[in-house]
Amino acid sequence: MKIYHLITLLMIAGVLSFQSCKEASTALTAENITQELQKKLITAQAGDKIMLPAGTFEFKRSISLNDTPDISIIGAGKGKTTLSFKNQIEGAEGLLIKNVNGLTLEGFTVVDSKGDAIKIQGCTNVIMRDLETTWSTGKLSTNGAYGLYPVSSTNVLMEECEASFAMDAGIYVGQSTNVVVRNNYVHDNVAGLEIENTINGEVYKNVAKNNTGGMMIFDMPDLPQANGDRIKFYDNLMENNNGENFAPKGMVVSTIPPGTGMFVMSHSNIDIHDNIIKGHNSVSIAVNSWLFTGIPFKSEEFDPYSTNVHIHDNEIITGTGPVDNSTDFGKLMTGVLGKPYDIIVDGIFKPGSEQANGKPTSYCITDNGDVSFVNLNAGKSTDPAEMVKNLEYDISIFDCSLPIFDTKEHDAWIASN
Amino acid sequence: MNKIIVFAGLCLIILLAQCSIGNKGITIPSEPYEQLSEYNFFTGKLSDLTPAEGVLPYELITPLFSDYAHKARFVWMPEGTSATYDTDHVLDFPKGAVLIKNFYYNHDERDLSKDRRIMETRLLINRGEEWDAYGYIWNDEQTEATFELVGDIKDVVWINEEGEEQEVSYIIPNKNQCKSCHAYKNKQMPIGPKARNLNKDFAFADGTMNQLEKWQQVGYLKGLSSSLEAPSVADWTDSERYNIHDRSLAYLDVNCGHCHNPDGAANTSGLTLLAHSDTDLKLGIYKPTVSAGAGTGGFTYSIIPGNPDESIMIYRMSSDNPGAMMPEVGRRLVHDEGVELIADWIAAMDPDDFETPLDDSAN
Repeated sequence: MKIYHLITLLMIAGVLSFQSCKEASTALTAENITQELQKKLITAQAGDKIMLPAGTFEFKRSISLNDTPDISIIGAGKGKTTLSFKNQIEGAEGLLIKNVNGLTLEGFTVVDSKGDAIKIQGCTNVIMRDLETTWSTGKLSTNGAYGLYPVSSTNVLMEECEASFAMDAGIYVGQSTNVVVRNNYVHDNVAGLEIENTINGEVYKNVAKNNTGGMMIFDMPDLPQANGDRIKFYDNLMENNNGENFAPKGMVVSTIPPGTGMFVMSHSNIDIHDNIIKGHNSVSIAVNSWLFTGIPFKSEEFDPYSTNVHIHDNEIITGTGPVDNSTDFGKLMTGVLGKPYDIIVDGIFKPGSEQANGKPTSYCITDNGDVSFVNLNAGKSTDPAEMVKNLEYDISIFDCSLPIFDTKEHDAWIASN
Repeated sequence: MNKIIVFAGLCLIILLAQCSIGNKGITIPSEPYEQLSEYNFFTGKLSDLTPAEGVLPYELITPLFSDYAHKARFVWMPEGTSATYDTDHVLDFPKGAVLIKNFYYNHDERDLSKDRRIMETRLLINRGEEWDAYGYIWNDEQTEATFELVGDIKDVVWINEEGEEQEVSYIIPNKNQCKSCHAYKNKQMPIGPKARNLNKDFAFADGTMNQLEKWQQVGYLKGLSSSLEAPSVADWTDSERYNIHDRSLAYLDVNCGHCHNPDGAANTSGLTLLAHSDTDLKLGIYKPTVSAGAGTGGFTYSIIPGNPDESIMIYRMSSDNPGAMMPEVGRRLVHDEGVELIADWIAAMDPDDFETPLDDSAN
């Protein structure tokens, strides 16, 4: 009989040791989430769904997730599960996620992070759904820069999210490829929604209100993904984006004049159609080259011009002013133009893009109703006294159409989700 | 019956595999030990950090600033293995190599007999493909350090060399944060032990010797004929031997270059801060920001030659706001001496030596 006792003992010991050495996987609760969430993300295994309880929870440090594939973090809904970083003493983000292949974030709010609220870097197959990022402090230059911030990522779907009070952009998609941004609401940020150095994107059915500028498509120089390409922008509503610009000086967005609906800078192959853009006191749509900023760049790959921009079939009802006089660009518009315009282009076209008849092929602007239009011809001079003499108001030279590009590379991925 | 015995045997194997039986030698487990003492890296009283046989202390010429904590560093490699020399990158360590870094504060910098408080010990273990990082937090009694995934925050007080009482909520990083600094091409890697940062003399227990030569002597380094052929970075504090430019680049290399390099986590910024960087836009000269957020401090360029007060680099190094400061992690205090060095370096730059940006009246 003794052998049986020994065997039993060994079995119990083995089982006990097995249990004690494996971390028991307990569910997150309102009581333990502050201590356990970070541990759960560190010990997560591929395929884990991490459920967040309802309630508001305070975190002192950034929360991070690295490398583990196929992770979902799911709350009870935006506004129901709130991760608060009001008392954060460490970390430049609220939530920082890097190098995850297969990531779903859904149903929670991040409030008052010291830097960006949710940063997703170098990830693939990312779904961001029903998320909210905000700062409870109002419009302060000390708020975090970005609310929802996927960067250097591939296959990104962002939908049903809300982003507000970021001192740069509420939604900022940077240096990413295959991106769909739809049905989101951005308000009271400096830039509502910004697509930067991104390739293959569709941005539709989003609403931007009360930001400084509603929606931006920018290319910035000297970045690893040198140029953006192929972005469709349609069925969006931009309304009354006349909010003060509370970005710290030195940031590119600090130059956006309050009262800007849509701003395109140095990006290529953009199709902007069927948007409603109304109530902006400075300009409804501005199209610039990077050269207009006067900021130097080094990269030889970088294309500083906005090329193949097609703006058509939009409903534009510009506000009555007054035009912004707080930013440099606003002052220029006030001084040189004196009134808000529906569409302003800087007139700095890619060399060689002019047709034989002198028409630039860089932009086509058609079927937007009876719009007020001005070409600043800034390539000739940026001195206001000179610029005033070079203004051109004839929109008909932009009466053309551009080849339709497809974005099917991301369509396949989106269709599977 | 046979099945029962097999099952029992299996349980025993699990038991043995999971909870390794102590012996005097150093073996590296596949999962971290619960207690630091189990590794047998040190002999005698644990807090004395007296290295066991095969555990070699080392120093870096210019170290990373960590809230004025001191670091006692050690390296261990499995018997018969050695690192391979590399001129530019971190030495190519063998599988199983361990770097041991102990962070501590002297109670009184003016009187080192007043003992010290060890906060944490970090182990970097080379698993072959990549390195694992494990953190151990010391108890208040200083008798043991315990494995912890998620780090901690501990208040610490000390007296600095000027006799002033200093305090900080010292942050022990969590496992994910290790990688925010210790990443190269998205793999977890050591930062410090590059030949150029090890190439100096060290007072070993058996006499002073160049560290690279010592590593060769004990069999921990191969592929180098003489320490003379290895590069060395400037000692950032040694103004007699090195000019301010070299000291500044050495400082930026160690404190910033692990992220700010073309393969690092901060490559999205376009800023490259390495010891061999050219003094141009990628180093920050007249470089506008991309996504600095609050980090601009209202300024336009990372570095304006001759004007440190309006250079974003100085602003971010001088900040202790988590949303603005640089480095982003690993410190809560401002490194006054480091800021002073970089500010002096920028102030000494002659604006005439650099191409100025275009007139920005168009903005």
